[in-house]
Amino acid sequence: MRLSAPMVVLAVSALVAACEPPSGAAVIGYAFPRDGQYAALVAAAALPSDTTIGAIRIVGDWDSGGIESAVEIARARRLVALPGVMGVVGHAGSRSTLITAPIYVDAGIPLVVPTATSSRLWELGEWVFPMAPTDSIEAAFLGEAAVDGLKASRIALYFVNTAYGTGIRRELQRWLTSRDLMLVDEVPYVIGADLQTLVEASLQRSRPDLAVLVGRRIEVAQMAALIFEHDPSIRLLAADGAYDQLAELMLAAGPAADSLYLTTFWVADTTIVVQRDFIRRYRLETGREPSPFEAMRYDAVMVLAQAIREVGPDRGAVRDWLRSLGADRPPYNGVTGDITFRRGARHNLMLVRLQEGVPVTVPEAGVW
Amino acid sequence: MATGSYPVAGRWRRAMSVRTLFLLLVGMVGLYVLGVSFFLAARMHPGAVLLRQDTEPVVELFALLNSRSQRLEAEVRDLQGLVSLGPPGYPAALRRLQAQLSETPDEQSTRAFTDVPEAMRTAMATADEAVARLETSALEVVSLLELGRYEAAAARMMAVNALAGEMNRHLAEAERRGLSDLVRREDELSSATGQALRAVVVWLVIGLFFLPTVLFLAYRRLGRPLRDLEEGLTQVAEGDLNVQVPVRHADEIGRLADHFNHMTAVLQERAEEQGRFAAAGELIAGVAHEVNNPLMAISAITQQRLEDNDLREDDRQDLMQILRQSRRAGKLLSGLLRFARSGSEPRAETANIGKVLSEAIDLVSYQFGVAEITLNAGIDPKLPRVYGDPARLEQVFVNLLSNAIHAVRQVAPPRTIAIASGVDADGVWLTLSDNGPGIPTTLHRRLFRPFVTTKGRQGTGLGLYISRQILRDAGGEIEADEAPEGGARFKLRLRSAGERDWLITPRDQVRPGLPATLEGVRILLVDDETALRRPIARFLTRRGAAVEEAGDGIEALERIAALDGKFDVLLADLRMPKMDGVALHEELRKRYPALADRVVFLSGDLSHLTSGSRTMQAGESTIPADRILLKPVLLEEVETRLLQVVQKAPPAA
Repeated sequence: MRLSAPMVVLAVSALVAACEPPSGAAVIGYAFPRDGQYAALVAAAALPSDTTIGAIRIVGDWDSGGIESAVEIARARRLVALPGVMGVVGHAGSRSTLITAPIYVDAGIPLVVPTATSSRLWELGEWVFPMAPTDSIEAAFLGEAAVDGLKASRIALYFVNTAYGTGIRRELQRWLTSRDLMLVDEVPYVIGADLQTLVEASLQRSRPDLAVLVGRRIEVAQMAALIFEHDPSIRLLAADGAYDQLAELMLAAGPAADSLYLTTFWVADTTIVVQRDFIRRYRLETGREPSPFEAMRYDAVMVLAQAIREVGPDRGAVRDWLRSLGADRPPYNGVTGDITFRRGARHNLMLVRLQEGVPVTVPEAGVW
Repeated sequence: MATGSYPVAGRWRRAMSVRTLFLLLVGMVGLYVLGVSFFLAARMHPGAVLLRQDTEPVVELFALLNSRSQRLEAEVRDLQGLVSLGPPGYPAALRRLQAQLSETPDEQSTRAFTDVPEAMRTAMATADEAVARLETSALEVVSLLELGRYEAAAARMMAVNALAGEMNRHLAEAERRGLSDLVRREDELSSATGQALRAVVVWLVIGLFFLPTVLFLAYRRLGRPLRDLEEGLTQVAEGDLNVQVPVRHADEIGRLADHFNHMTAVLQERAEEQGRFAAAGELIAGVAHEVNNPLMAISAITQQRLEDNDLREDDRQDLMQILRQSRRAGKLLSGLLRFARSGSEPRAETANIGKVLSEAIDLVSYQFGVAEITLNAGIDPKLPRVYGDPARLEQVFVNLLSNAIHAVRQVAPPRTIAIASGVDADGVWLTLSDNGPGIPTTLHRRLFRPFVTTKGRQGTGLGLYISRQILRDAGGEIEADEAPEGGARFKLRLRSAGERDWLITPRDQVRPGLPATLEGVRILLVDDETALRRPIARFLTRRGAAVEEAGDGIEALERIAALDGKFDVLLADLRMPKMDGVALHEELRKRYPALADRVVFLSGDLSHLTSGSRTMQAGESTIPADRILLKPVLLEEVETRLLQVVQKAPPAA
């Protein structure tokens, strides 16, 4: 059933309000499409009630319309109009975040961006708080992994033709140029395009020894499968967008999955209490294993909730609290590590391979 | 403007100062200008800035998308051509096309999405997505051609063309929205501009409404009081000291007006006082003649009686006392006359300072006895002459002595006033000190300023001020400090004129070796006062002179004519009926020039004598001052002066 947006809002409210439903509660907006809902559910379950400020309510807004610009803008408008909204977590990608961020900036609502990587996010003003490493950082990481770690000399790039993909491409080109190298081929991709033809012609044209794949898990899986099928010797290096729901990735990638190097911001470590609790709760609530994206979204919700808890339902104060992390106050200890919103702060970036479905860190590529 | 007393005290309206008013007016005008400017800026600037802010990224993004879409359309056309050509294909052209389609789009486009107005963002993003889809689809066709799948490429080319059309539609839609948004903003700005201009007009009208108020206020507070003051000053310049200006406010100009009124009141008071002094002087001068004549008569008769050898000793002593007292009275009268006329007479250049000081002491000496004041006057008899007019210097000493007398009266006896004098390298110095209460400390700095007095209503506060001016005019100076005895001490310094001025008596001037008696000297005595003329005539006759008498100038001329001018000397009163002494002298100059030089005049009125001057003017004739004897005068002095004239002149024909 396709739910209208207001209905979705109500439904999610009801769902979350089952935990803490009092009226006048501080609200955290959650701006992710349907498949990103799990972190919100886990976070809602994790949020304790607070007698000082009342309950913190998470109101999700997802529409089955995908992440097209119009849908994202409409979503942002609805979240901004929510009574008591103290902050929003979202949006899913760089493009959707860039398009919607001005709406939050104009409304004076803190926007915590957990997974988008565009460097442009840092130029959107004092109300936007990117959590993930920027595309320039990730591109440098990918470049080092490819050139220094995997010793590649002919690198081709296959990317989704969105702000995320073009951002990684631009920064990777820059990084390679700084090393007197260049991509042997660049292949943009959009949903609906004939990926097989594009890949086949590209491989014939450029004969790379390493392919950098930039896209979401299905797109990357398809690219990997096609490349692997054509030439199994080509190393496959995926950007962070692929590391989400590994089971689906492995299923779509087929035999190529074992050859795939995945970039991720987080790998679950059950030896760490915070992570162990999160993973346990995530499994309990969803019956699934948390992905790095879910962990990041969960941290985004929880850091916003912590801000509201400490300073009260005041957007300006929440903004200042977030900005003070790592400066006037210690970083927030999240599931994915220490969280600050300071540009240039150290981020967790790791390269992993899948061994029988289990991610294993690749030591030679280094850990950022 | 008013003449006479103007109500001031207690009626001032409390008002802010002119400076405050001026600052307030400037502030109001500044605020007004700032307000209008700020209003204009506030109404128009945000709209203009917003329009510019929103327009720039829209235009920028349009330019990017158009550039990208035009390039893409060209590439699609090239691609269409390659597809139409079919096998064997053109690898080089395909590689070029592939590279062009894979080129990084301008990185600004992503940021531009965030800057465009929200209403346009969706359309722009959709158009951008359409461009991306077209790029990828075109790449697909390139790839198919590269792989030699020409039929598939041709089929896919149809989809590419459809996507190109879709891209153009989205771009057109974005452009339409962009233009619509711009037009709307332009309309808003235009509307805001119109409103702002209307509001500015309203503000200007309000400003114009307030302008007369401001001008009226400025005129009322500044113009009118200044006009009053100007008119008042004009009246003062024309000699009207009875003018008072209205004091409208308790501000600076109000205080100025009050000071002006006070000044004119003081000037008026001084003028009246000066007028009274002048009148008193005139009165004294008028009375002096009438008093001096009887004094002279008393003196002459007394002297004549004293010539009687048969006089009893008691009677002689009484007559001597009468003679002394008449002389004292005459001297006092002369001093008074001299002092009263000192301000109106031409000034001499040098003065015998000892004589001046003695005469000043004489003027005030009557108070010493009454107030039990001891005067210790240490006057060096060999003081040189000093620069300065004697009469004015006498005024200085009288002022200082009067002050000292007033001061010592405030303390119990013994009361002392001490005068010391001397000469040093800088000139002549004098000190005048008393044992009074001294000068109040608060007055030390202001002592020589006008209207400063310790005498209250009894003093004018001008004495010391004028004294200093007189001394400074003479190149001297005066200063005050505390006397060793505890009272006040004034130190005077005067420039020395160099020459010694010994007191020379008329007798000293009689040249030895020449006749020293009036024996045989023909004298014509001319005086209308018989009571005076007779004893003088008898005295001169007893001295051996042949004396003829006349009651006035006309009668004298008749006697002279009768004797054909054969008189050795004339003794004539200056003030007489019918023809006075001056007119007589004038006639003598015409008819008997030689005799005109042998006239000795008697006068009871000092006003005929110019103090310090050697001559007096009467018509065209000039009478040397040393030829005038002031009544009362000792008969011996008359004799001496007559002898001098006789000795000096050639014998009468």
